[in-house]
Amino acid sequence: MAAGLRAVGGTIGGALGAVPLLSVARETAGHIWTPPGLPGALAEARDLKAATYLEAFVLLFLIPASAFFFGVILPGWLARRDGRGPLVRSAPGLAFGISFWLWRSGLPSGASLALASLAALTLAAAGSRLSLYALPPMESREALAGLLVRAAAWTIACRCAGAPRALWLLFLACGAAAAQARLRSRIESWRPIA
Amino acid sequence: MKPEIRRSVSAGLALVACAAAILAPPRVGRWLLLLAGALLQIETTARRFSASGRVVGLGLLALLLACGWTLYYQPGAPVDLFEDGQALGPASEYLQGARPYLDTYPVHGWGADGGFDALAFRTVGPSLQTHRLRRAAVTALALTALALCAYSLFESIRWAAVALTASLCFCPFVSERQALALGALALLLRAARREAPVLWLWAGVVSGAALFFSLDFGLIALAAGLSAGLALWLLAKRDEGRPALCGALWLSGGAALGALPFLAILARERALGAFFRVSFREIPVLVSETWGLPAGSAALAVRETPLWKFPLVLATGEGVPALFPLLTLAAAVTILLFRAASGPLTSTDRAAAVAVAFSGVALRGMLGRADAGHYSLYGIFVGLPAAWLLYRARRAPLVAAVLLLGLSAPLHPRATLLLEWQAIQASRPARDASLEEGSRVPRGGGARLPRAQAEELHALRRYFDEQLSPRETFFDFGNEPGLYFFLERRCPVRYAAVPLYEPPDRQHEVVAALERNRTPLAILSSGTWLDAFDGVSNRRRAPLVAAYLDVHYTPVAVVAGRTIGRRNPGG
Repeated sequence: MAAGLRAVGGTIGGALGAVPLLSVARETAGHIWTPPGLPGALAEARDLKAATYLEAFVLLFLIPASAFFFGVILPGWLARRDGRGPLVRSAPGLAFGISFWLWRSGLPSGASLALASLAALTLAAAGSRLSLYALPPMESREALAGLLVRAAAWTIACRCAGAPRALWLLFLACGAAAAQARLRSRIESWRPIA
Repeated sequence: MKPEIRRSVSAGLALVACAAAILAPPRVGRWLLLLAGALLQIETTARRFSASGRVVGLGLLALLLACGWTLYYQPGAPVDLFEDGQALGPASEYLQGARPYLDTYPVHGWGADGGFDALAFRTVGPSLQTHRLRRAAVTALALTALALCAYSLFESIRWAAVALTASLCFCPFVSERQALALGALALLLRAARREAPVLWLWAGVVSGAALFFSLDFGLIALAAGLSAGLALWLLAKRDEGRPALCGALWLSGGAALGALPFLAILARERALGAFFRVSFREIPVLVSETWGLPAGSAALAVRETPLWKFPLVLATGEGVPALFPLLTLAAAVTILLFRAASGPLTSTDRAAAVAVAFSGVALRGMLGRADAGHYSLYGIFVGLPAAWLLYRARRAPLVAAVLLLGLSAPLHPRATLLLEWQAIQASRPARDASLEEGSRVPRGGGARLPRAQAEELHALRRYFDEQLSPRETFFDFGNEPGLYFFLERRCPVRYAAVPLYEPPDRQHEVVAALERNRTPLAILSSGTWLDAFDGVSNRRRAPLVAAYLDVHYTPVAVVAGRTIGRRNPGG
């Protein structure tokens, strides 16, 4: 039960994050199929039945698959990689869930999915090495604080630049910070206490 | 006799008495209801009521069968010359030697579009009454099969009641076309629960036969059964220490067995090739293009609707009516995946996998012609996964409460049950009144039609009998294939309605048939909404045929609202 509860965040994030695929499905159908040529209500409305069926496919298969991936498969993999903190395991799914918000804010579906995937990947890569809930040793804490301060500064700066672009920059900052931290190799010493 | 068995028998008898009370005349019915009440009263006041088992089950099924019969047997109701005509017209053709798929075009399936009626006509005699008796019996069986599905999913009467209610919320009044598919589903659910090869085989037999009764529902049963069988087999293989039964293989074998007699008949009629061509190549393409209705965009609905308004959109189905069933199924698929990941599936979960697969495949019909009727027709299966979601949440009261609220808002279970109850109560008075006030029609048998409609048919019959010799016929361009049955004339083309011959090659085929038969009369328009399905007129749907009729037929009369054209001399 506890494991199930821990997976909820990742599951919900994974499911919500895949919702922009609905737009991808509709756009893809528009590129591949043409509206019906024979007279009827569909031809009148220039409606593509294939787009409806692809949307149904996304809802019935891809969204549950994404929820399963971020709720079970990825957390399991992270747990095996010594990521003991529950947030570490849910974080990629929650980050992926941001694509739903980005998409609804007006960002194209492809871009929102790409950004959220990048964020989820970054967090998964980082999470496989550290536990965000665990306290690192003192010298590492300073580095972590530095990272967080930089991320916060980026966030504030990006907020001033407008919503979609702000998030772009935030993810860029997070990715850069994580990469930088990794390069410093201090990350190896951030082991969970307990 | 053990007390439990005695109570079961009493409860079963009480239910059968209830069923008989519904069917019997009111004077007898009252006594039967009293008897049922007394029996139930005795048992419920017993210290421990433990009525269960097959007797109670059979009693409940008898009760549902009686409810179905009284609901669907209405011999005095108006006839739908398009909907009913799609069965009556071809049935009349089969009686005169027409071959299926060569001389007719059964878009819903051979049996549903006249094949089954032709069999009944040969046995009892061709009349509207025979058609209505046959249809009421099959539809009542469909309702019973739905209850069996609900029971087979949980094997608990209480949860079966929940599942049945949920299914009726999607489809308050079942259709005869669902009957065999529901029978196949009940067998599949039981097969998945018990992992019994013989049940998979029987499910296959029923699915195979369903293909020839109602094509789309047969395909749904086969596709869902095969995919669920394969998935369960893979899961069972993964879980160590359990025998892996490949239900899909048994189902395929059963389907071949079920289809064999029908294939043999078609081969004898030299219509085998036409059956495969029409059923699997032509109809799927044609139906989607000419009969399809826009289902709305889920992407647009999810993206543009404010989050606070989203539950309202789900409850009302505004914009995308299918969004609620889609999300219900998505939730069920996700939970099934989680449960499969955490270990072997329980028997109820295995049955739920079948129910989800069935509902998922049936969505194609719901999304294809996206109107309220087809939402009900194909959405009926979603009730089972919805009930399973509640079943899974039963140990978490908060989740169950939220889920119950979420499901109740769009499904309206109380209103549905009230509607069913009122319909059952009103069916007998409605039947008596319609029979008393209705009029006889040619080929009606014991059935009646409302006076106005009967007068229309009499007027048409008089006109056509005066104008045509017994061997001559007419062409209907008004989408009323039922007229061929009531006027006892052969249809000069194999298509029952204009949207079926929209492709230019088929319009040429119709024109060639008219040229060959030189039918003296043609109904140029019906004067009803049937002249323009979905707002698109017959003339726009089949312009080549319309042009031919314009050139070769001159309007000469309007009879009962129908514009009738006579073939030009020498034309």
